[in-house]
Amino acid sequence: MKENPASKTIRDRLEPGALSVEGFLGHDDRPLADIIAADTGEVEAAGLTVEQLGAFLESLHEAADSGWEGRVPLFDGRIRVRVTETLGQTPCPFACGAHSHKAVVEVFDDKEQVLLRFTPLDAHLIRNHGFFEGKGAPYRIAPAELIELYRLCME
Amino acid sequence: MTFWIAVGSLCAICGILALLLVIADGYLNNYGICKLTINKGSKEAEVEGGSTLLSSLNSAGLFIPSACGGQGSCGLCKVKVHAGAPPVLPTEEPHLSKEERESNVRLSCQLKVHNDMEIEVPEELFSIKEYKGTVESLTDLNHDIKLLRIALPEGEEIDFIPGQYIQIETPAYKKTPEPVYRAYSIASDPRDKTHLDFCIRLVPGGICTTYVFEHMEAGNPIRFNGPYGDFHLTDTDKDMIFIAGGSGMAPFLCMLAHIKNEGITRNVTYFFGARSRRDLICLDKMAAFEKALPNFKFVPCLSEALPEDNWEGETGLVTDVMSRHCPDLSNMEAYLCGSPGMIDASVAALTSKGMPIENIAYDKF
Repeated sequence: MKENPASKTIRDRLEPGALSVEGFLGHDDRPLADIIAADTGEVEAAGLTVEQLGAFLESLHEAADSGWEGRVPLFDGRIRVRVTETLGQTPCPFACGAHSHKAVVEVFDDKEQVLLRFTPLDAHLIRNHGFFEGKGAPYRIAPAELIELYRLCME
Repeated sequence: MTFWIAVGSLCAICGILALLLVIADGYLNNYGICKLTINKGSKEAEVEGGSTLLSSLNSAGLFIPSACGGQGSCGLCKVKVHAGAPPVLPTEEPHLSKEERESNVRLSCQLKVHNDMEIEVPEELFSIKEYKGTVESLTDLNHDIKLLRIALPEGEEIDFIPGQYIQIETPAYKKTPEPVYRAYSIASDPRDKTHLDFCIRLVPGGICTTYVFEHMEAGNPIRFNGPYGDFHLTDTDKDMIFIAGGSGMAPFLCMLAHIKNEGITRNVTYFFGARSRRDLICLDKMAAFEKALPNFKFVPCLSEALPEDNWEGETGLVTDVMSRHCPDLSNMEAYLCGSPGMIDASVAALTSKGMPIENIAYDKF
């Protein structure tokens, strides 16, 4: 798929050094539209939507926020969530006007194994732009992992 | 033969068009020198057009507060633009109320200078200065917070109110193409006007804190401007509660030094939240303040104390601990510094215990 000038501008904001040290693309050199199409396609094939998954992550962050950086049990103890917050906000690299607090949310299973790590910006990017970050990016969420976590909590 | 003439002609036309575009771009994006008239002529500046109003004002020596470094996220860099501004931009909208739009308030980090402008800023910003200091030391406070100590140049001093913050410049490094600024609360004793201390917590992937943790060294030059902010102690005799977590310790170190210097005898209880013992900072300093200030009590509280911590202090949520220690808050004041989640939870807990919202001051970036 060809990359248009608008997505080229966004891609520049996703590169290392623009909004974060490592950027959002990792070693993924596919056009941005292809990255998004592949990941959203995987979500839709599972019978879900990116809006559902993004909203799910937002709900986990909100719950974690109540725990003062301690673990908060959710979904009958099937998972526990914990946030590490720092001061400041990051603007959306898609320049939609949204800003997300700088934080890392960890999701643990009932054996204290980390199932997922994500930032509030990830939740926004998935929900509003269908973007899970490029392969090799520090905070990329593989759609399959998120779908599995979603099903663990919802079923 | 005709084919090659046609191809050659097409290439020549494309080349001429490309050249014309380059020339036109130079003219169209060259805004020339623009005049900024500030506060009805109290100050005037001529700047190169094309940059943001925030950076243009900075280059003219007028420093506007901006906790996010011009990313359009903190909303602190508001100025009034009475003439010369385009319509409100989508990136400004979330930060401007209806009243602010009607009185020409704009976000200076989003607005670009393309022509002469008439601007209004608070008079006190005229006294904010830029400094070129030296990194005197970088000390680990724990595994993810460092104490940065900056020395001012020989013969220079800085005055600030305890609770205020400074904008520190991170120079261009690695793949970050240009300098960026971030805001940090001052942690040092306000009596020492030749040094500034800051508590800096590592933000994973953060441009500025990664620079501090991985590249900054003692002896490096460092550029900063300020002081900014209206987070400060009130002049009442009410008992006070401080609540902080992580690097939110910084303004309270400064305020406690001020309380000690001025002989203030108000009761102060400081609730500091951390995950486990390894996350606690400045315990020695807090013990020294408790010794020097008979009306001061420090209450560290761990949310995930580990068995090896052998912790006998408070555990659980800071807000729950605070509620146990202070059942009636109706005639007290609270000062908060920390993450947005922490501030929101604290404000909810304080107001539910009867504290009027106007008695709560916080520093929330």
